[in-house]
Amino acid sequence: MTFVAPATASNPLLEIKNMSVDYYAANGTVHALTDVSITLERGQILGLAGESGSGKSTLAYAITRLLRPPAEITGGQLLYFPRPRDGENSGRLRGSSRANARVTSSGMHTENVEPAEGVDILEFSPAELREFRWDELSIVFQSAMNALNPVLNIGTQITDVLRTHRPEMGADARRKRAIDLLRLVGIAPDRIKSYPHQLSGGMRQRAIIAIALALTPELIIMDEPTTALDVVVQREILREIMQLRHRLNFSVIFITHDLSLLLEIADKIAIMYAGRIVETATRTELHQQPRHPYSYGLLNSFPTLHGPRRRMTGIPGSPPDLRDIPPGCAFHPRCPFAFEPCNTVLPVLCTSTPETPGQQVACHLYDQRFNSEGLPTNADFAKKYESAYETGQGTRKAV
Amino acid sequence: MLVPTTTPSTTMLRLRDTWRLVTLNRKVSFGLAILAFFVLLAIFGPMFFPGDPNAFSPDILQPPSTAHWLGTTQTGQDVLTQLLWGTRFSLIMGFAIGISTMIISVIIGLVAGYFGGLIDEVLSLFTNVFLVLPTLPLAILLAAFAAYRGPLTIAIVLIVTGWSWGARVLRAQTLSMRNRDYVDAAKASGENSLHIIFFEILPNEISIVAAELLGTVIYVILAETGLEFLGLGDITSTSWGTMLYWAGNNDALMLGAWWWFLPPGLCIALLGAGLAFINFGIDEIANPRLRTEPKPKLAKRNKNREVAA
Amino acid sequence: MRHLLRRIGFYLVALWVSVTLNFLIPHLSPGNPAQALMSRLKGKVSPQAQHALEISLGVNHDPLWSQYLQYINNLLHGNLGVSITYLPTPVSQVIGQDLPWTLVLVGVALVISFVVGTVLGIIVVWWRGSFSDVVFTPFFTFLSAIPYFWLALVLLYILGSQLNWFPIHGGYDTDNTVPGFNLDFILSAAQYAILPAITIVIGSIAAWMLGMRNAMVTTLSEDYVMMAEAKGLPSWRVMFTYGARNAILPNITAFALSLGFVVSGSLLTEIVFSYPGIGFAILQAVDNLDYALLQGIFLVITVAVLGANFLADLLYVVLDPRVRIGRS
Repeated sequence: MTFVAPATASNPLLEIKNMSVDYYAANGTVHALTDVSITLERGQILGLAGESGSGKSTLAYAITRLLRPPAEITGGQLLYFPRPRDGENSGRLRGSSRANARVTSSGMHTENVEPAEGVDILEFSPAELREFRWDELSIVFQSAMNALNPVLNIGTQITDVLRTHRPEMGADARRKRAIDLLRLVGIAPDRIKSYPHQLSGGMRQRAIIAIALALTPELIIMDEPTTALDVVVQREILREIMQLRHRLNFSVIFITHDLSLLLEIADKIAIMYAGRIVETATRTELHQQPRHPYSYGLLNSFPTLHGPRRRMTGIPGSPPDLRDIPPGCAFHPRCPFAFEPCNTVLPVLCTSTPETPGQQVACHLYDQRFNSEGLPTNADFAKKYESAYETGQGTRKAV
Repeated sequence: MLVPTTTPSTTMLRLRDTWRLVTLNRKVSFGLAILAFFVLLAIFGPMFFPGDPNAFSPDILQPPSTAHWLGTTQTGQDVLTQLLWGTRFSLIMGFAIGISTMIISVIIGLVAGYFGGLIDEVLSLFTNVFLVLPTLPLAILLAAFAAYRGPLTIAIVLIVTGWSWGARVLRAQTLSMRNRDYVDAAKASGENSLHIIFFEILPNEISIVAAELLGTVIYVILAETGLEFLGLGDITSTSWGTMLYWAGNNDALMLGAWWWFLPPGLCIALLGAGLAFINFGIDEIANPRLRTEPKPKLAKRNKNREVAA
Repeated sequence: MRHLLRRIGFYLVALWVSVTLNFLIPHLSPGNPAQALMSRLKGKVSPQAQHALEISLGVNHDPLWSQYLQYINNLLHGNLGVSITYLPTPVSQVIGQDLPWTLVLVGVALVISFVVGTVLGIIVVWWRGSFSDVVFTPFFTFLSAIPYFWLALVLLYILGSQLNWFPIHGGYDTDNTVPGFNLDFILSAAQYAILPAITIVIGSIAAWMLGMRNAMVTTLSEDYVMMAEAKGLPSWRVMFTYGARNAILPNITAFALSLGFVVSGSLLTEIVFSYPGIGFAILQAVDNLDYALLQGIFLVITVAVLGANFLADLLYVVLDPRVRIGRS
C-alpha cells in the first residue's frame, strides 16, 4: 500500500448526508427515511440494524438509486469518493470506464493523495449511473431465490455484467472469469450451466455473491444476505464473505435485524428507528455499553452466542406507523425511560460521553439540558426494561 | 348520531373502505358509470318506447330521422325501440346466465381447491378439458340438437361451456387459502367441510368471484350474440344478437343500412368495455403493483426521479 | 419429458371427452330433431352409411354401449358420416376441403396478433405512466369487448363495401383464377384473406396486449429485475432478457387457454366474409340441419385446438428451464 491512513484520519468512501425518502401512498405520505447522515470509511464494514420498517433497506436502495415511484428521494446528498485509477497496487480488475468524470485528474498519478472531491451519486446521469453500478457498487439481495433470473443460467448472469462493463473482454475471457468467480465462492465450475432452480438455497446465495464480485467493486451492499438460510449455511456464507473481504478488500454495508451478528463482523454500526439513525458506534463500544434505550432493547431481543446470559425481555409495543411518526423522539411511546422532553423535542445525534467520542446517540438522556443525573448503564437498562415488561404482563393478565 | 356508539362496526368500516376504493379507482368508476347507463336504459328505455319492437311499419329502411332516431329496418321496425328492448333482454340474459355459471364455477373451484388429492385431480382434469374444448362449436352442437330454441337452451349451452375459466381461477386461489390460519382454526373446532368452504373461504375470495363474474358476463353476452347471430336463438325475440341476425340475413350491409347493424354491436362493445374496466379496476385494487399511482408533486430533485424511474 | 408426457396424456383425455360428448349430445337431447331427418333420408344413401349416420345422430335402437363402440370404430376408420348438405359427399371430404382455408387464415392471424400484442404490451409498460397508459390501455380494453363478427361487419362495410379496397366475399377470385399451386391463385387468396385476417388480429390482439402488460408489470417488480438494473445493464436488456423473457411465460399459458375462444370468434368472422372455411361450413350445416357435418366440425376443431395447445406447451418447455430440466 502506498497510502497508509493513520488510525484517526478519515478516508471516506461514501458520505451519506441528510438523506430523506418518502413513499407517496393514497392514504398519506410514508416517511421511510428522515435526515440520515453517516459516513462509510474505505475498507470498513458498516452495519445497519433495526426492526423491519426502520428504513434500513430503503437506505440501501436509495444508495443504489434503485428506489422506484412511489418512493421519492426528497433530499440529501450521497457523496462517493472514488479511488484514484492507477494509484493502487491492489491488483484490481479495473476497466477504462469510470463513472466519476469529476475527480480532479491532477491526483491520478500522485501518491498519497486522497480524492479531493466526492461525486454525488444522486446527480449522476442515467449513463453515468449505469457505469457506476456494479463497477463501483454492487448489491446482494435479501432473497437469493428471487434475485436470480429463473430463465437464465448462472454463467449468463455473471457474464452479462462483464459483457456490459468490460466490452474489451472476449467470450472466452468472460467464461473463464465466471468460472474463477464461481470457484472463489466455492461453487464447482461445472455449475456454470445450472439454472437457479437447480441450486440449493446456500448455493444460490453464493452465486449471487459471485455475481456481486464480478467487477471487484469498491462497495457491496448486503441486504440481509443470510436471513433466508438455515443457521449452519448462514454461518458458512458469513465466513465466506469475511474471507473474501479480507482477500479483495472491498467495503460493505451490511443490513440486518440481527444486531448480535453485526457485533461480530461490523467495524461501525448504525441503529435505525422509524427512518432515523438513533445511535452509531463501533462494535466494541456498542457491545460494552449501548447508549440508546432502543439499542439496548434490540441487542437483547436476540440471544448472543457469547457474553453473559441476560433475561430476554424484548421491546414492548411495535414500530410506529411511518405515515404518522410520534412527535419528539419517535421511540418515546415504547421507551421505558421516556420523560418530559421526549414527546416534544426531537433529539439529534451527538457524542454521548467524552470517553467514547465516536459513539453518537440521539437521546435526551445524554443531553445536559434535560438530564443532569448520571448516564444509564446496562444494569439500569435491564432493570427498566424488566419492570416495563412485568407491568406489561400485569396489565395483560388484568385484561 | 343520537345514540352514543363506540366505533362503527367492522362491516361498516369495510363497506366504507370498499366505497372509497371504488370511487378512488378511476377505472372502476368509469366502468360502473357505463354499466349504470345500460341498466337505466334497460329499465326505463322500453317505458319511453313502449311499442312492440317487432311491429312492422310502412317506413322501410329509413336512415335516422326525428321520427325514427336510429332509422328503421327492412320491414319498417324502429331500430331504437328494438335496441332498447334488446338491451333489457341482453342484460337480463347476461347477468342471469353469468351468475348461474359462476355458481357452478364457485362450487367446482372451491371444492377442488379445498379437498385437494383425488377430488382435485378429477375436478381439475374435468375443468381443464372443458377449458381447451372450443366453446362455440360445442355450443353450436348443443344448440343444434336441442328440440326447442330459445333463451333456456342458450342459457344451458352457455353454462355448460362457460364455467371452466372461473373454476380454474378459484381453484388456484382456494389452494393457497386452505392452509391459512383461520381455516385451520375452523377445522380444529370441528366445523364441517362445506361450512368452511362456503362460509369461511368463500367470503375471502369475494373480490375474485366478482372479477370472474364480470368476465363471465362479458363472455355470456358475446357468446349469446354469436349464437343468435347464427340463428340458433329464438329469432322472433328481440335482442342485440337477433338484431344482428336479421341485419345480416337481409343484407343490411349491401343496402348500406349502417344504422341497423352498427348500434347493437356498439352497445355490446361499450357494455363489455364497461365491465372490463370494472374488472381491471378490481385487479388493480387487489394487486397494487398494477396501479399507476398519481404522480406525486415534484420535489426539488427533478432530475433524479427521472433516472430512478 | 415427464411434463410433456403428462400433457400428451391430458390431450388424449380431452380428445376422448370431445368424442364422447359428440356421441352423447344427440343421444341425450330430448326430442332429437335428427329423427325426422333420418326418415327423409331413407333410400337416398347406402344402407351402411345410413346405419353409421343413425348411430352418430343418436336415432339407432341398438344398446347404447354397442352404438358407442361402433361409433368409435367408425371414427377410427375416418368415417364421420355423410353430409346432408352435399349429399352424398362424406363429411370428412367436406371438412378436408374447408379446413386448409381456416388453418391458414386463423393460424397466420393468430401468430400475428399474439406477436404484435405481446410486443405492444411490453412497449406500453416501457412507457408506463405517460400517454400509453392513459390512451392505449382503455382503448384496448374497449377493443377486447367487441364481438368479432360485428367488427367484421363494420370493416367489411367501410373498407370493402364503401371504399372498395378489399374484395368482400369469398376466398379467392373464382372468375379469373384456378385453385392450385399457382401464383395467381395464391396472390388472389392472400388478397381475399387480408380483411378477415385484420378482423381476427384486431379482435384478439387486445387480450394478449393486456395480459402481457399485467405480466410485465408484475415481473418488473421482482428482485431479479431490480438486480439486473443494479448491475448497470442496458435498459433494453433489463426489459427483455429479465422482464419480458419471464413475463411471456404466463402469457403463453393464457394464449393456449384462450385458443378455443379465439377460434370461435374466427369462425364467426369467416361467416361474415363468406370465407370458404370451416366457419362457413358451420353456417351451412346449421341452415341445412346437417348434424353429421356439425359433429365432424366440432371434432376437427377440437383436434386443431388441442394441437395448437400442444405447440404452445412445446414453446413453454423451450422457454422455461424449470420445466425443461428438473432439479438436479
